[in-house]
Amino acid sequence: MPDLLLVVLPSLFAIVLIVLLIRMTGIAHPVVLETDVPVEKTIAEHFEGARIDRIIRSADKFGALVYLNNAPGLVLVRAIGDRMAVRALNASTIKSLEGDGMSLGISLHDFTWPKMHLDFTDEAVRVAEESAIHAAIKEHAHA
Amino acid sequence: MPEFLQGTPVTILAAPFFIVLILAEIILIRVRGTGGEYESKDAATSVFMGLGSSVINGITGLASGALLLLAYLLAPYKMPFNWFTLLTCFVLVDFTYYWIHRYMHRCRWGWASHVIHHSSQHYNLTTALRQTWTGLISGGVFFFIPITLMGFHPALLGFCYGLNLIYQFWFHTEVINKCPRWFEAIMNTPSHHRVHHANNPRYLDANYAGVFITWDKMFGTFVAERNSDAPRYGLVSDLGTFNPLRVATHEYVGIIKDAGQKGLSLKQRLWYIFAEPGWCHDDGRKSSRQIKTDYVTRHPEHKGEPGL
Repeated sequence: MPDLLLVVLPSLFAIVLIVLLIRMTGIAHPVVLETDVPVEKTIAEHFEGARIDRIIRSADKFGALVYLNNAPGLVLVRAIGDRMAVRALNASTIKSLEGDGMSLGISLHDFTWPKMHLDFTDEAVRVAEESAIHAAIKEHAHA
Repeated sequence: MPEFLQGTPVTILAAPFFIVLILAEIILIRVRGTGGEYESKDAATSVFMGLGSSVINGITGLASGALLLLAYLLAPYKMPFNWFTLLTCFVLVDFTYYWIHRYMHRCRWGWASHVIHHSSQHYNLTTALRQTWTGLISGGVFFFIPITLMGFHPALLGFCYGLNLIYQFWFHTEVINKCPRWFEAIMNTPSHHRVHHANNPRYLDANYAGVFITWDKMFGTFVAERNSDAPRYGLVSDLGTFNPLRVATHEYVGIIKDAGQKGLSLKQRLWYIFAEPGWCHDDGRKSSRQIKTDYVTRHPEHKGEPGL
């Protein structure tokens, strides 16, 4: 077995070097959800033929809730680096919804994406969206 | 035993060259403005996964080595060390790699270990370093036993396997589009391996080769890259984290959750462990075969094309 330090230390140095070079060259373009366009593109890629009803972007511009007119009904989208991750929301994927002020915490039965916060412009909007999520899940369960 | 077969593994010796090539790729992408993408967290995760793999598999590899040595001791004939046996062993290791790789994609237990390598949504040289931490328990080592029973020393096998992995590093890139035709016909290349990393329906479960793409052509798993269907990299359901521990273990957690559900038969529990990834007792998820079938149903004009 090679000397562990001879592997670990240069590797950590290499990570720092790579990250610095990526930042300095400016070749990475992390996703910020300024508009609905990246969300629409992501939905089209993952759910062919999906018809978007409405998109609720989180105030922090890193996540969005997407209501579809067809299956799977409700979708959570999240910026992860310069890419997006997507999960269909239903009774079996959602663990809990926790509203607190303007923020809505969505816990998922997902080891790599256990929780996400959506921030709204005011509490009334958050409460309305929380009810809408419950309704959409119920509607989709009966569909 | 020759000296070069002892001591530090060749993959560790090659690590500095890997890093230099990664830095060169980043600069080339910046200069050309095309030919690949990098993201700092993704790249850091990939290299860290490679570091973890070197350390963990460096330790657990001793158990694999012991198993192969035991098999070698049982071999009725011991191969001598020379260029011919080195070359023969290299080809045998690559042939075996094809089948291990195919097993890793077609059986969820193997996939739980190998999924790490496919968990990035990027395809660049750092992706090559995103390697498993659980190689020992994946079962892949058992595929190598026939080679040692043929009389090839485990150290020679390990050396050839290291060379195989080093070869596989360079083709994890979008900087190179196509290689010369004769080379594309025989060898694994960036184009062939981009197909392997893509989650487009037509590209799922294709191009398992390590060095020689001929194995895929022989065993019916070869799919050529199409300009009309650009590869989209990553998993069918992409990860929502860069946390290395979660990346390394998420499929095992999924297996435990699935197989531990209430009301399943023993057969169903075993299927959740050993059936193809995506298998589900209630059709709640889709295997790559079902994804391909769904795609062809929506696009019948593509029916019969390679990969569909």
